[in-house]
Amino acid sequence: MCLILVTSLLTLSQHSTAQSTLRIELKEINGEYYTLDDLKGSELTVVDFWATWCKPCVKSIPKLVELSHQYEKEEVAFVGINVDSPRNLAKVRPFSKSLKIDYPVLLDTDQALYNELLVSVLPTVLILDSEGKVLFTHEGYTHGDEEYLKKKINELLEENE
Amino acid sequence: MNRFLLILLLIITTLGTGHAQGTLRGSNLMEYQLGNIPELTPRYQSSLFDQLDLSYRYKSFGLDARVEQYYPSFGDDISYTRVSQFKFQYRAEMIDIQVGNLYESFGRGLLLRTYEIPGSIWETRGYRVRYGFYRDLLGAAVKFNYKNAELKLIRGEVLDVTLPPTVSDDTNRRPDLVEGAEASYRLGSQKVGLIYMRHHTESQSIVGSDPAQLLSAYYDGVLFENFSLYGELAKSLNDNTDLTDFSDQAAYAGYVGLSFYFGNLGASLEYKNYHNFSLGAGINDPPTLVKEHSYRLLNRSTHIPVLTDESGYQVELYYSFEDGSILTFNTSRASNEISETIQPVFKEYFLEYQFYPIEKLSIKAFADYAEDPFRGEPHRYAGGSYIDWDHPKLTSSIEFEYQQIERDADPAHNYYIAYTLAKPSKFSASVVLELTTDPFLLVEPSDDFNAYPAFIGTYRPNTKNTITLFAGKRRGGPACNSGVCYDVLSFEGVELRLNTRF
Repeated sequence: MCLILVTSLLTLSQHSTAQSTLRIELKEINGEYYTLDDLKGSELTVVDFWATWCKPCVKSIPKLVELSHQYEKEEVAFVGINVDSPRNLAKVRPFSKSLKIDYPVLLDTDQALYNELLVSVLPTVLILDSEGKVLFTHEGYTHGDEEYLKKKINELLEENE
Repeated sequence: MNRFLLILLLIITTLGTGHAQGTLRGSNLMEYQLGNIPELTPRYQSSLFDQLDLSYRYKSFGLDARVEQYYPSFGDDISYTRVSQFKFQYRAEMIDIQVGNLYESFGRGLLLRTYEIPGSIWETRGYRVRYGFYRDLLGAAVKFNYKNAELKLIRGEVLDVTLPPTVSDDTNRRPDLVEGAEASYRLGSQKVGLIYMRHHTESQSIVGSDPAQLLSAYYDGVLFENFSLYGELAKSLNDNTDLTDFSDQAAYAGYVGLSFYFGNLGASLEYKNYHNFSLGAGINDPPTLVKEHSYRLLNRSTHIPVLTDESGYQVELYYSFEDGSILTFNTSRASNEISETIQPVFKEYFLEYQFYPIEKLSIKAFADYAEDPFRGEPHRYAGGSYIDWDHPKLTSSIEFEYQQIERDADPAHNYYIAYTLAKPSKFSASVVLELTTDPFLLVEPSDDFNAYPAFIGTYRPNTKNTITLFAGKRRGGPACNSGVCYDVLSFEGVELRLNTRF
């Protein structure tokens, strides 16, 4: 029975694994619902997993905001994924606004995307290609990591050319 | 059952290696301990815990599995190797199906919330068995999406995380069965939802008795751009339930959260009222409305809500200055009605300032005051500072916290100090010292204090592996992480942890 089900679903499947990640729909802090597919860049998408209670996350966010301004939004998109539990959810929007995050922040309360992308620590920054494939993973934050990230983004952009 | 799952696990591995189109990813957490709870004998006993997560994705479907192992040097009866989680998933444009061990919630968790604390290993003093810390649901969940409407159906048994996997077969680790549906509809940035849930508990005295029925309605939306509001009201439905009944006998839970921002100022205001709403072995987890502190001493002194009767509020304000510094203020209040004469009220005021005096220096300072009569602590004061600075290629940080707890009979002082030297993304070495004068934690009543010195080293040979070494004495107690509070055992000895991703 189980085998029949799996076989049927395999036959029905139309999209690649990475595209399945891109299809997870989450609420953005401003109320609209988006998938990563809606927000992705034509070349790369930088995805930052964070939470309000995570100290290194809070330190890294202003640097990421600064970094995001150095690229064309259409080409390299930045997306924040907040994984605060329902306990802290009311704080996420005002907190994000006070930190001047001007890229979209999606709420992953049930950790659907967090689990899908096998994230295990905060903060984690992933760089995805336009198909949703993970090209680079960086965990944690210490001063200067943003320079390393910038170098990596530029390298990947050059490879794409 | 486990044999069947092991075969499926083998299939996952085969699929992962055999099919170029699919992807197999995984992570492994291995922890070796040599030591014991301080003051317990023998002082040194060893144990090995391992948690392997495998995840296979092919087109729209996925298979996930977790294998856990525990081998202590003491007691063969508590060692185990088991497939503790297994999940099949199919995700398409309009439908998402999951079967197996899942993490799902209804609304903001007033009726149901399952969770995992990643990387956390749970152990209790009674059982001394180590296992992954998660409360999952064994069953199925189906989500349908059509335009602006969503329907979520869940049926499954919720794990009681306090019972280790080695308990005897006649003890049910999943005493709560839930069946429910959540229907929601959104229009722009406004969303309304309705949840109906049936809850069967093993403790129901009459075999075949009707399950408890619960109903919840919520609104989630953005108002006037700068404001957002979430409100949820849940009630237990009995035979003759009056939905407008909020008397002492009624079971209900209400939560409202309003947040807004003006320029650099952000604020959130939340209100809660929970009455007779502790469900089963703890399957629900409504918002706590007490700040979850990242500071070590404050995190340990948190208030854990009493769902049989608790009401209160929380206000949090943030202000980000143009130079990047952030000022945070938080205050919360929680009232419990234990009896007509015992009605403790928890109060807390917290202020934190994070600033950068020069480019390579970051300072965080905080002050906290709390009244916690529920724990017999009428006054609690705390303060501290975290200082980070960068050297060429290396960073240093000093962390200091102090807490004074005033009690009628046994006042206590707690100290925490740590120094860390790190090379970003490569290694870090920390020296940590905690001191307490808490009479409940002294080894001998005549002692002045109890000390917890430790060394913690971390090394990352590459981005996929992390090795962490702990040596010394670690203070246990309550801890809160990702909205979940639990007790951590004290430990003295050596601990080696290896995290691997592939």
